[in-house]
Amino acid sequence: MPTETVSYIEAIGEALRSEMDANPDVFLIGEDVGQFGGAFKATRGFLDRFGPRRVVDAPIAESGFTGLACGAALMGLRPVVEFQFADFISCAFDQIINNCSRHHYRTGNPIPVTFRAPFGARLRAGPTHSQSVEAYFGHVPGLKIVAPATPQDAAGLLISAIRDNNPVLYLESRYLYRRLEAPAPLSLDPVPIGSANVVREGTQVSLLTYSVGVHQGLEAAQILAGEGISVEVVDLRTLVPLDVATIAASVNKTSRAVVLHEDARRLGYGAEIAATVQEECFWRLDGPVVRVAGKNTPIPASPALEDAAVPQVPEIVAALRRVATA
Amino acid sequence: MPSPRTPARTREPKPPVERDLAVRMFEVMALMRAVEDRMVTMYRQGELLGSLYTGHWHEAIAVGTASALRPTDVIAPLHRDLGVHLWRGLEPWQVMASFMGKATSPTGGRDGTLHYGRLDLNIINPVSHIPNNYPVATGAAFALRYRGTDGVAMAYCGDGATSRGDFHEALNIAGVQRLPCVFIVENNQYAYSTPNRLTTAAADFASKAAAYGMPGERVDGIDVFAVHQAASRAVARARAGDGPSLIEAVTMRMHGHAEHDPADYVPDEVRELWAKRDPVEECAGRVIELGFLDTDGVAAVKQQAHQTALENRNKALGMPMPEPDDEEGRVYAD
Amino acid sequence: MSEVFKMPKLGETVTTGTVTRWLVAVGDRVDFDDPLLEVSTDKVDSEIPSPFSGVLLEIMVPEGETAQVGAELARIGAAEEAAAATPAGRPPAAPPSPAGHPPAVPPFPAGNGGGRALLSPIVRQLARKHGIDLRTVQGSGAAGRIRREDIEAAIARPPVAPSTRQSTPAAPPTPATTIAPPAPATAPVAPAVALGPRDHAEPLSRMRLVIGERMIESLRIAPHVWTSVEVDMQAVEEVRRRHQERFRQEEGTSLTYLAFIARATCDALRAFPVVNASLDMSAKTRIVHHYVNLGIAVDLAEQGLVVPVIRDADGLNLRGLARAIRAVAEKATSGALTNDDLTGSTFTITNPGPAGDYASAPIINQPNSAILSTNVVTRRPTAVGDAVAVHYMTILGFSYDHRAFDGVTGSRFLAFVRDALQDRDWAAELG
Repeated sequence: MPTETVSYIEAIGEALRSEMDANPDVFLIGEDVGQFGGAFKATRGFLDRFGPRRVVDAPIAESGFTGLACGAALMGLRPVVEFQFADFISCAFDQIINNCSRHHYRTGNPIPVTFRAPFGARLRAGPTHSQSVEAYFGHVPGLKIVAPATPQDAAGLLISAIRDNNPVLYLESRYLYRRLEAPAPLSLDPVPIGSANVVREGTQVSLLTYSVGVHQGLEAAQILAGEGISVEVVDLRTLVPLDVATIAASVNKTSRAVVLHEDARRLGYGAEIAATVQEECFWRLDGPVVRVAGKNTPIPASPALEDAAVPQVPEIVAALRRVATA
Repeated sequence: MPSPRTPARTREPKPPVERDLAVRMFEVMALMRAVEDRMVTMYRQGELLGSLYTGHWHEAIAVGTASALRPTDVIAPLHRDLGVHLWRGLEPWQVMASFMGKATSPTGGRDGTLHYGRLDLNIINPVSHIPNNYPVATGAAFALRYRGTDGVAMAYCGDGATSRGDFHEALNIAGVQRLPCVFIVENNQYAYSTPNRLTTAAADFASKAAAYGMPGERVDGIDVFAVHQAASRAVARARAGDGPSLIEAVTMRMHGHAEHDPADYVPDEVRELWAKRDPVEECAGRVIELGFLDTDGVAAVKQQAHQTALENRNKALGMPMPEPDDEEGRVYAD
Repeated sequence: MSEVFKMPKLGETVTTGTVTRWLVAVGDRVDFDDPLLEVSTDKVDSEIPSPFSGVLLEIMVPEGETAQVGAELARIGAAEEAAAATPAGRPPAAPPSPAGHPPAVPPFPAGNGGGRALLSPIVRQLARKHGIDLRTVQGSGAAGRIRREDIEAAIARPPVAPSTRQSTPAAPPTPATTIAPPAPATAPVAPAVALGPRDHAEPLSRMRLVIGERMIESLRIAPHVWTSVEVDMQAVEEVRRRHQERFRQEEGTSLTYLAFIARATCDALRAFPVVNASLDMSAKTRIVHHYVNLGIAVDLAEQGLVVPVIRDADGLNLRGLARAIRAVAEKATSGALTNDDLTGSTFTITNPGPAGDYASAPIINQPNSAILSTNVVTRRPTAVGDAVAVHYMTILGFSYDHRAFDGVTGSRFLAFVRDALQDRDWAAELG
């Protein structure tokens, strides 16, 4: 039904529907994606529209259906695999690491599969329904990883992921599913994988972040503007491959960098970003690269505990302020 | 759990397969044996890079099953199924090149040893995490049906691999989706040093099929014609849309897990028992019995196989080793 | 033409093999695929078929011996070669070393001395590029750190006009006024101190580090000699007492000992111009100044030491000097000193304050040739004629650069200062 706005999760549905309409080789497989319309209703109506051949309700067998997707992709189909929560992707770790990611390097044959994984915390869902998984998979050669922060990018990056001839891990933010709206109609132009976006220009410190962090960063930047501190917010959009050129241009301009992500700090993806920044921009830095990240704990369920485990806007503001004025 | 024993021999009243097919089966089995024997020698002479895995006594399973498929069917083999590749026309030097890390191997030296499939022959290159190829084969089957063909995907694993979750998940998905798959379990009694009695409490592997709503059949893995007929039945079922099947083919792993493994854990009497049931020799006996070849003809096939193996060795030895060449650039597909 | 057979690798982790049995003797014919020898490893015993056809010409590793994987075991070739002598134990060809390409290391920028405390890469780069003396840049960051914005502001400011009185030798600028050249390689490096559980580390301020640099440099280049003189300040004290109240009313500040000492020193410097001069060792000259710019060291307690300069101090009398001293002290404590205020001294007096030092040996403030230190003025017994009286006494310390002049000059200079303090009619000068 036509509405004036499109939410983040609706954008995902629109993009998926558009690609399935355009390319008969695209099919969906995952738990509850068909007759239930998806655990989060991302694929509501798809079974009726595309039929059970193209919308496959899989049993609870992540390794099994991930391997199936790899085999089908090897034969030239374009599977979109949905993990009900990113937390369950660990059940498919073996298939992703050993069959999927390194297949092209070994054989020259591509595996064009898209893995959709709803990730992230702040929904009181506890340690096994709130995980961020980009750090493990960021290390694996052969995968690409994207994490859209807006409905527009959610659509554009999913389209690019499906069209990409490599396995792409698509991290969709559950927290943002229904919290973000964009004006309709949505553009269905693909957003290039590997391109970051400067969502707010600034002069004194660059905040490098993705997904929920982008919105927290914008809020923090607005607060700090009132104090006369100018923050540039860079939405990374793609984690692998990282848009080093945009990151370096920003930090070379502001001379200060703060990296923000919800994932735990130790060996979170911010470590890679920080290392990249210091390699590229060291001689232009006015201070060390700082990471603001989740605690090194599993994500707790109870509200006050969870809120303390992940970055909140006041903490982000304080970090940016400290870095900008040190 | 039964201890390793000699399974009953199967006998058919009429020729199980036509002459040309039977002779070709024998030729490919003999070639598989000759190539692997040659590779054992090459291994001992230090010509290979690393470990050598062979399928001695698996020849009937590999050839019996591969010969039941069309070239457009997809195969997901493992490391003791050289006969499958040879049946489809892979040249032995490519296998040797893979074990030598040559630039001309099917992976250009990026992978080695047994990881040598070729997608252009509809053979999926396996990884060492077994049976990862089982779910992948379900995907191939899915795609064949998706595209409206009656193609079939056939996957192989050993007795040991059935312990892992992927075995269960693949069979379960194939069963519930009625995918056109044939799953082969090559029961050669040992997973490295682990005998079957330490692998499963089930009576056999074929009966596990019932858990997934598919038929399971146990067959004499030494008898190439029996294997071929069982495979043909399963393939026909899959092609007709009747879903997947499991075939347990029983044999014995006559060499170690790899050539560096003397397999002292195998009791001598077991080896002696199975040594009397060489699938290549039995096939030779059958084709003579059926009047398809005489003893000279059999000898000629063996001699040709020996010669081919040698020629392929010489060819592979002369091939270049790869140099690093934009390795990071070849990680992603364009 | 013969071939050498080497020890194969019979297992992924195997590094050696033992020859258990040769199945062919030297001189025997052996064909391709014939069993050649038996090798044992800790994994497996293997019979090895020969990869070559020919005569077994030589066995390098006999039965029972163990050899590394890749070691030469046997030579097989044409029969004629059996007669040719072959050197034993030819060393195996060294494997080609992998073409290692060490990762490119970004080059260090050229050294840039002076004030390294917490200077970030961008600040140093901009300072070097625009020729900014970092000691003149006010830092707005934590603990006075110079931030990028501070250096950018300094770049944007119009440059300070140089004083016409400053000496302009043909040689490079004197170290006290510009960024010092890089420290020599022989400069001693202090050993690192381990941080224990009862310690905590505080970063040193920029000023602390600058002072440190200057002190080291001064001691390095000037051979310091210290001498002293005892001064009877009784006469000065009596004048001070009598005029203190009126002076305070008129000047708004008290009449200090320092003013008297400064006045006496200026006169002494006119009498002994060599003490007021600056050395230019590179030109092998002494720059004689026909004026006295008197540096007065002001201790800013926690923040360090600054040496503001009273220009043409020799043109001021006691009252004038008292005023000037107060003016620079106020500027110093309020942080209002400019570049001009801190440069151009010809002589320096250091005034550790009323804490009570008996005597002190200061470090010369380059490029001066000497420095005077004042110490506590206290009542002590002294000889007056043949009697003992208790007078206000003090020690004046004097460190001088022995390259500039010698002990006699120094002593005479000090004597002049003493005599001026003891004998002058200070009351008349005050008026």
